[in-house]
Amino acid sequence: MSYDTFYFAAFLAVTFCLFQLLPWKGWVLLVASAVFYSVAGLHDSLLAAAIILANYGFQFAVIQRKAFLWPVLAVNFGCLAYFKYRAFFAHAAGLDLFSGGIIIPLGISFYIFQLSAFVIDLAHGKAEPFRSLAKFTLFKLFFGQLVAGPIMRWSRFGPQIDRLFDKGRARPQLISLGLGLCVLGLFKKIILADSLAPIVDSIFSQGPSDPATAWLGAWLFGFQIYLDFSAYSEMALGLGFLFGLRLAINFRQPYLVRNPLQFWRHWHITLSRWIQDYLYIPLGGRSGSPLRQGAVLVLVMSLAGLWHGPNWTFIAWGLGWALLTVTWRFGGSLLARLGPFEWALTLALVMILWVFFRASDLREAVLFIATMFGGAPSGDYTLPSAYFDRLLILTGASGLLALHAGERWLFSAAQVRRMIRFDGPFLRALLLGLALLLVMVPKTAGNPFIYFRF
Amino acid sequence: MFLTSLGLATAVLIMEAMFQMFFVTPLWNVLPMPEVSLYGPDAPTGYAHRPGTSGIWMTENRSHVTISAQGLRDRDRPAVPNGPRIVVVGNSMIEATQVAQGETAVAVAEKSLQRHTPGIEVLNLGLAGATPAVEIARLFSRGTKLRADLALVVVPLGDLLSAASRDDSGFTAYRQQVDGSYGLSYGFREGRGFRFRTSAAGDAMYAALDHSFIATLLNNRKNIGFFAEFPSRPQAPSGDARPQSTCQGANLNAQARLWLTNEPADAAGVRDAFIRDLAAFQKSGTTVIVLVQGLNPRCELNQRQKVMARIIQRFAEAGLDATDLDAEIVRRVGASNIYALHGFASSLGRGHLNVDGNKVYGAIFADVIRRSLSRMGSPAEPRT
Repeated sequence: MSYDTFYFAAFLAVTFCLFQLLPWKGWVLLVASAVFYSVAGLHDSLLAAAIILANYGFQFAVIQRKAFLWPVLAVNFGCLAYFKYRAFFAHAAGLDLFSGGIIIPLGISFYIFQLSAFVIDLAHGKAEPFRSLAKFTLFKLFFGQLVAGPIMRWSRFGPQIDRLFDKGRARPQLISLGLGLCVLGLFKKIILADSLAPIVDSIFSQGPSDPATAWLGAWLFGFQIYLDFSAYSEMALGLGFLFGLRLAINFRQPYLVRNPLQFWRHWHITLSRWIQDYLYIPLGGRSGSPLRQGAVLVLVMSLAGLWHGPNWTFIAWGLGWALLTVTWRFGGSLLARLGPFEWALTLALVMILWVFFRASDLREAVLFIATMFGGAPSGDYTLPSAYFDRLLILTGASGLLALHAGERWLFSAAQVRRMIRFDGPFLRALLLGLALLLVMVPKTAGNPFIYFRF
Repeated sequence: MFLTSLGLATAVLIMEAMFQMFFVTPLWNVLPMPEVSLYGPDAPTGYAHRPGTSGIWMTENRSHVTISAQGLRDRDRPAVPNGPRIVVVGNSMIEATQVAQGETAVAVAEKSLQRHTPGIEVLNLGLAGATPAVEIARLFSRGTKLRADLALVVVPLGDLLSAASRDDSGFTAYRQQVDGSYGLSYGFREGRGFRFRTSAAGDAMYAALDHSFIATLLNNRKNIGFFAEFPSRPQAPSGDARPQSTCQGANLNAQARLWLTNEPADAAGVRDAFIRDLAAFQKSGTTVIVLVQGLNPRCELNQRQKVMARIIQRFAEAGLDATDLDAEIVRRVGASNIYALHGFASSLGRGHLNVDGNKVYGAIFADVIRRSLSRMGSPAEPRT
């Protein structure tokens, strides 16, 4: 179920009413989450159930003997490799297997990472096992964060699940704040991200004919993916608040950061923390020679890219990020002398890398980027030639950055306190009305949340 | 309760203000807008454009659509024309809401003709979903009032076979009369929907639609269904004009049966009634040119030629001129490029005519009109 639909709103309304009326809060959310996921289909549901049961069983073995960590990680990542990457690996090995299309099970990248983080924490004594299968299932399956994160750690989410089942309520429900985040997410997705999608699709499918069009395409995609993914994440946060759960923040205005090192502390924060804690640091992190550090970064960022999808473009995107990180790690003090231009340079480089993320293959990406820098046209899509039309486009493109900066004000502690303070029937009705009207806005054809595909 | 109602009302006002802001700025070109409700009840046809309606059309491509005071997808026209007046009747292909008014095939034809005949008018009587019965009803109800010299009637041949041409529950249709012949039937007038839409409550509803984006949003949503996005079986794409790898013979065979052997009988009845009524309209003083389309111009050329010859002959027997529109299109752009006349951006090849497609159709209409007017003699004197 997509969050920007009326039927999800209806599902949410029923779930919320039952949550308010019935004393078994945990069970209400569990059943609702199972219903939510079942819409994805029988195969996805059976796979998810099998993985849940396997991890549930293994957790007891892991706390007895740490060596059992490896089999459960093998099961988890084996499933991920098979269901998401089998065709890619086969093709890379020169084998013509799995040539029919692959449908990636819904949310598999996210829940495998969440479960794996849990068992690793369990093995290191940073988590406690879930005795109850129901609690364990809700920990993995909560509909608010199941499909595209945030990737929750046991230390933050586990006790909340426990309280939900044991005491009938977790923390106070922050209704207006939750609804406000949902409204913000719906606005960013339905009004903004979905409006950029057709333009981005046209520029990338037809190919840009000149540098201005190419840069516009990269810029618009950069904002499309940010608005789309952050919208989902904010809605997930909001859904959590509605049910008294505190989920992790995943985005903090990443396009306002000064340099690439800061970017991953502001973009998909829970994924970057997962990669840092479970890949980067165990592989050596910042220790060792610069060569070793660089090699670790290349490996880790390539895997981070690959996580996003079975395509060489994602690996190239990760490699690009590795290069940026190494450059700023060892040359950051020099680049900092650029002052505000360091921010502009970072933003430009981020947008260039997004081309790899969006292009359908490496060749398309390289040609697109070449066009950005004055190379041959990689297609025939061109911007309107009239001066006024170009001025409008420039204004619109700049407006996206201005809105991005404005988000910082919206997410300030003062605004959050205000939302909590003025919580009441008027504000709740206002936000509910806005949310319902937003989900009724006509959708441009077929624009699911981008990160649902991962 | 009061605070809750106030909150909901404030939400409506905020969204209304947001859409109004989009509408009056260039943002309507990019951001989502409720799609304008163009149609209202019409006694002769069942539904028609509502005069004075204006708004954003969102399907396939965005355009700002305005309906004239005469209730046409056209600019306002004087009651009495200053020069020759031609009307073009057809379905959504002619209505062309997906392009700007000046980019429709009808407008293109008018502009082309006005270079040599200033004062000539070509009016757009296109109406989405118009079946042959609706086209006839539209000609008699509006074409007569417009005092046209010439009427181009675009007929998709498939409509003669479709059940919609014989179903009068939503709009006028050909139904078999007591004496066995087929005639226009107006069963829709007894329907609850038509009665509501022609009542005071219906007037209030249309007033809300004309002045409130939120009313339009809710109406649009009601029309497509509140749970429209619920995952369902994928539908086959419609209106695919891309080059087919194999010819689909079913359409040609069905038309061959209809025109050569008069089967099935009900479709033959509709066909004959349509031709009869066109001839009757021509007798009222407007010359009628029929442009037939719908036989794939790439397939089974011998069989196609035979069927088309019979079609043209059948119209000629009723005193009507008929032209093979598909053949004209192929002559101009080539069979393998027809797909490029349809659809926009990533949907190229599917759906209605794009700007280029309307240019090609407009050029064809202009040529047909020129030939017809020269056959009819010099352009009519300005009317008094």
